[in-house]
Amino acid sequence: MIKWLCLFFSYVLMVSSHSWLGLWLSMEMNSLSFVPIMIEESKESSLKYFLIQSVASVIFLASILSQSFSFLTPFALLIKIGAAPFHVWLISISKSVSWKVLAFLMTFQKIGPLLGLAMIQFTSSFFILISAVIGGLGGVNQSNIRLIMAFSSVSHLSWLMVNMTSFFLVSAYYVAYVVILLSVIALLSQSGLLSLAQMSDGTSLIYSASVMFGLLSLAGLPPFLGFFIKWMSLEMNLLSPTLILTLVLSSCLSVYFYFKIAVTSLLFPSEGGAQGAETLAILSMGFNVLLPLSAL
Amino acid sequence: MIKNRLPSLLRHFPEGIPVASTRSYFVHQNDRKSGYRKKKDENIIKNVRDGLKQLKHEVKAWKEEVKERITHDPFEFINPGHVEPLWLFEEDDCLPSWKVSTDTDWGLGFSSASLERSNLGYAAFTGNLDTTVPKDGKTSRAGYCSMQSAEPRKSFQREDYYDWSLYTHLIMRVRGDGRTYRVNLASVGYFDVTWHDQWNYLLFTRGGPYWQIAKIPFSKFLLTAKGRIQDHQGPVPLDRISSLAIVCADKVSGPFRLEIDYIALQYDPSHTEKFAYEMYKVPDFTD
Repeated sequence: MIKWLCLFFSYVLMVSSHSWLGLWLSMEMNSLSFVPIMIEESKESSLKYFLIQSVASVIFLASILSQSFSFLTPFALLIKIGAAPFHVWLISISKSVSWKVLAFLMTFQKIGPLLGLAMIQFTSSFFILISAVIGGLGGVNQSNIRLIMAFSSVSHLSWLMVNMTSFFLVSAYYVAYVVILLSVIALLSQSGLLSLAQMSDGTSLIYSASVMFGLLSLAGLPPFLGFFIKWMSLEMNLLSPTLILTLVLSSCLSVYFYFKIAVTSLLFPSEGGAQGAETLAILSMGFNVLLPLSAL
Repeated sequence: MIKNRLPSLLRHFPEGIPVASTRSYFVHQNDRKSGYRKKKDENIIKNVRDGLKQLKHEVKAWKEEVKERITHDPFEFINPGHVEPLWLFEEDDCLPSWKVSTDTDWGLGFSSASLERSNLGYAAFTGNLDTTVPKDGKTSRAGYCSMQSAEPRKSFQREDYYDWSLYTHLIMRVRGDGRTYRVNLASVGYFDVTWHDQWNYLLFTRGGPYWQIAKIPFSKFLLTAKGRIQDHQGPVPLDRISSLAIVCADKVSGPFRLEIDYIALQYDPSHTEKFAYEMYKVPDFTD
């Protein structure tokens, strides 16, 4: 209970910190509260997470305290967030943890580093491109669903970094991304399936449809919520044609692996299904379809 | 070499067996093998020559890995009830890849074991378990024989793991002698705190002429480290299995025989249990 309270308090501290030191303190509190939650599931993953976050924290602290190392600030935050080319730890951890922990890793654990990157308005084309390319290519040949979602998270980080010029844009993208991702993860965790190879067990049509809608929303296809946030990112930011082309092409690669999950779940329908799962499926569809349409 | 041992006990040990220096005064483990290492060949030229001979084979294996990673052959759907064979002892010649060890190998006992093909073509793990404790002043218990699968390796001898995360049960078709064997799943990780983690399950064999099919759920394995049951338990990390071992160490001196037809995995979606044992919060011992 205490670790959860500390974790949520760290999020509050992060968003209300006015200085780099305050942000560092809240990120430290965050990682130290999160490690006991992870250790219940996998010792190996929690140790890897702790070591990576500690190294990044040391680099971050050195960069904010010393002028000579100030150029290291964005690197430290990118390591913390799991952006390419510092994404290997996230992929390694994703395989061993549960959906609950993975959901936290891909959503709320990014609040602090994203705030830091937004403070310095970090929009390096190199990191945006490499995250987009690695996130897109990495998920193509995967059959493990958690790994696919981890690579999708790397890919979406590139879109988040594009919006770093404006605090409002990055917040809007982040909130929409969290809503879509949590709805998809809630559905995937209900099924208990870990791999595409297990999907022959059969899922109800409404469940498969809502998973598909969620994934298409993540992919950025209209008329889902994901499309509008990506459209907003391209419209509201001044981007070079190369960057736009790479982001769109990486989205196409993402569409391929999202479709792999969606189509596989649709290939083996069954009539049964838990009542709770159907309710969740309907709610998820509501978020992904009705929410953007209501804004129009 | 063995020192400070009584002559009557020394005559049972083969010459030149290493003595494991297992005593450690620190929490940090600096040796993955905990001292149980054979002496390495110090001939550098010979090692380099052997390494170069292996190079061509390793490069070929690496190319195959890259090709497989890029092409990623279409996966097969695993239907409920699907059984994936791991080791088919009757058909495959996988016996040489298994390592047999006993306490005699380290001068800690007098047991003997072997893994051979039986008359009918199955794998037969046989031997003699001896619980006589050697009087060396260090050993308090003796008597174990084990057969352990080879650890999977990628190209250039990089460590790899078995990924059994899609499966829920371990299936073994065995014919035992009524003894209790232990099935160990080792999961050696990066960090020293997980080097000695093993998940154990007691396999009770019936004896007699009939075969038994043991369907062991992974949720029933218990975590131990260096033979001690751990307070903080958890399910088997099925995506990082280093090896499987079958151990005879039931403290009963005498001959043993376990015939194995196959070892396989099964996917049973109706088995939703993650971990079978209730975890009670133990009080903090401050003394």
